[in-house]
Amino acid sequence: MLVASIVHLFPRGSLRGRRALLAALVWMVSPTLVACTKKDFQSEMDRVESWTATTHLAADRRLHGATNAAVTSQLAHRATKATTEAEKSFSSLAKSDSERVAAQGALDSLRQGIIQLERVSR
Amino acid sequence: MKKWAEVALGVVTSIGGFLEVGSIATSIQGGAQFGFQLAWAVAIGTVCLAILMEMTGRLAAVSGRSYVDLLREHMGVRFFIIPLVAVMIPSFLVLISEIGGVAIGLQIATGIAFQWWAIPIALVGWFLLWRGSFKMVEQGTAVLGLVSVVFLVGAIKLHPQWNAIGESLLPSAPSHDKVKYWYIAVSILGASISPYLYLFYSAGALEDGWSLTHLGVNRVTAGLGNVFGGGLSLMVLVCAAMVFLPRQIGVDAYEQIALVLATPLGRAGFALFLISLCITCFGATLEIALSGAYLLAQGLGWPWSENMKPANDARFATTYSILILLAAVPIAVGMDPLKLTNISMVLSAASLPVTVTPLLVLMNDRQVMTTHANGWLGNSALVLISLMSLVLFFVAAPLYVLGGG
Repeated sequence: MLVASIVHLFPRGSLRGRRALLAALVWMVSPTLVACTKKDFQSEMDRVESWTATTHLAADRRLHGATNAAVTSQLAHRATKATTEAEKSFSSLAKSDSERVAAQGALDSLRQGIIQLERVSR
Repeated sequence: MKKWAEVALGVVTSIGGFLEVGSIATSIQGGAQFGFQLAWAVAIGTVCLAILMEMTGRLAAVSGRSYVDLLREHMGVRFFIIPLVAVMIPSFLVLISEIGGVAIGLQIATGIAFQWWAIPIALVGWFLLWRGSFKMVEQGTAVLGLVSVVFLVGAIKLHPQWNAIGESLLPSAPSHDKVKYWYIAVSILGASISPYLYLFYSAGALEDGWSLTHLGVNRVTAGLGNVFGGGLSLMVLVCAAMVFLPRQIGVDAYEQIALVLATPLGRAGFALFLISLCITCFGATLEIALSGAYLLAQGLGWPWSENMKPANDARFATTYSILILLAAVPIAVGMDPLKLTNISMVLSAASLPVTVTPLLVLMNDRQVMTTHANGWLGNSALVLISLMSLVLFFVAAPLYVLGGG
């Protein structure tokens, strides 16, 4: 709609020019239009491991008095959300038994990390 | 003496104004994923911004008119619609991200969800713009933003290999995850060379009453200020490389970013990070809202000045009021600020050609620039930046989609 109305600001422009302008604007704005749903098993494993490492670092920093309870509980909440999303993703992405075992192991480690983080956030 | 005070204040303003939500988020993501390897993107972005600011500042000082005003006059209203739309869309998204950055900082500090902070932040920002002067907006937040020097202290405490950082200032091929690498590089460039930065600078030169006598001030402010500001951005990347990379933490949320200074500097580092995030993002919120209003007012020939009473430039004041209040809405309804930051940085990079390339024409117009037109060195630099901006235009969208932004 917006793009179309912009193109109509150029009534005397050539058809090719208007098309080029339209294409340029669509090209530029396309990232906002594309919801990125592309996921693969390894990237999902990396994401789970990243959140596990985050829970360890956050718990350690909280124990040293370097952070407040608010950020610790917010990170625990974010990590829990990441666990739920990863569970759903792994159900479709893990194709072999070894992948399923690896995914389960990674999720268990993350859950342990969340428990530890929730313990220190109180 | 007065000139030196102006230079010092200009440099401080540029340092304090350099860091904002985009440069913090993209530098941290780059450092966390690729260590020091993307330091070159920060360096190139800084040099390009310094050049563009020096030129738009010189243009304003010599002609007594802003870049946008001259752009519309020389290229025509029809052409002007393209940069207007191409700059306004990403700038508005960056504005939302900045409000999100302040809101997240306050959420981490208080435990109150970030959505609740969006409207109060916008109202405070609007009130300051409505009642304040340009000097207050430009210098007040920038001087307070000097607290971000804490990233330099954090980096020193982490004892990085400085020679490795120096080597990374030259571009190198990624060792892994090529698409992600280039996607973050484009995001860093988009954050460093956001069009609102040099459009704001050009308008600011006129607000401050710059003339031919300010050409030296302009050169030093644009050069030194950005070098120091870019240096701070580099320190953010270094801190992330030292804290997150060894632990294999990829950054998905702002709450993770909050840990970056808690590791080298403990409680003080954590607190100073939050203060730094809130102040720099709030400062950028004011600047972008004003920049959007400058763009529209200068392009359409309305009266404009932050130093005038709103009643005397009603359309200008209405524009920044609408922009800042509207930008709070997506955050208030819970839009993820980090995802939005990533999208807006890529869009900023893609919007560069429409403002960079016409500058080449204006900087060589002897009627406008008289004896201060670009020489061969300035033109070569601007041609290179224009070419780079064209490359960014073509690669930004595919990299965002493929890089999993």
